[in-house]
Amino acid sequence: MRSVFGKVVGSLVGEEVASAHCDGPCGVYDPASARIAAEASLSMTKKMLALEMPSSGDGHAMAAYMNSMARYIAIKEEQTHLAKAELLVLWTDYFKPHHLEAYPNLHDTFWKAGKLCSAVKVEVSLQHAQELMDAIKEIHEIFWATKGRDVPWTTSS
Amino acid sequence: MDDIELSLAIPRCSWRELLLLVVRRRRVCRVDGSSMHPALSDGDRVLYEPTSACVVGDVVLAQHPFVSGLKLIKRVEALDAEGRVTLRGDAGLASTDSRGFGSVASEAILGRLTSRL
Repeated sequence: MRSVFGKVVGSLVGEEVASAHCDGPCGVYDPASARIAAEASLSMTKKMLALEMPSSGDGHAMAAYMNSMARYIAIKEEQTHLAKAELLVLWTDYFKPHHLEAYPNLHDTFWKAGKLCSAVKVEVSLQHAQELMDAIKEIHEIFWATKGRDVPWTTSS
Repeated sequence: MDDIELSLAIPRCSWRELLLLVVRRRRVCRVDGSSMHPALSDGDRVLYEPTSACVVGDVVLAQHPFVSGLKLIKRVEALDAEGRVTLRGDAGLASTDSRGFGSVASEAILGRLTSRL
């Protein structure tokens, strides 16, 4: 009611807009960056589990196998760490105390997502990699709700 | 704690304030952003008195020192002897203010917030 009154008065007499923002990049946060990194981790986990070890006598095949596995491991490690960093930035920079009032489980959701990042790095777990994606989906829904926008959850693969 | 919060709060618009708006002694401004939480929320509309006079504790409308046309809403944290004004957002950990862009000249103060619509 109060906001409607303010809107009417503002449109009648003309209103200015003044910025009460926190910082320059305030408007460009997006959980998509964490999602892309976590999706890469999920993909690497799948690739690691699907890779078949060559017969022990074939040196070339063994080198290629080790090379592929090492690359998957490196990418999983790097991308999961990136997902964790992106989540941390979103959690500590974008979300404000009034968001926590509206979403009391916010801290718990981020904390669990961070823990899942650690698990995905340490383990080769399809279950935890998928649970990380689910946690980021939950964050995606809260994030866009705070902006009053209906942005569908999409994945790259 | 309650007393501190009460003193920081912007009062609700009175009939007197509306009358002053009608005779152009007040102007309307919409708050964009959350750096003045909890006193002001994103989307709040406020009335301000066009003046460069302010005291410590006032919430003011100010011209950003380095971005032409960008107006800010911040609280006056300090006034020095040379007339420079230190601005700060109430949401101390999430505000771009004088901690980043330094103090502003008193001429940069465009108005003093008087009430919330």
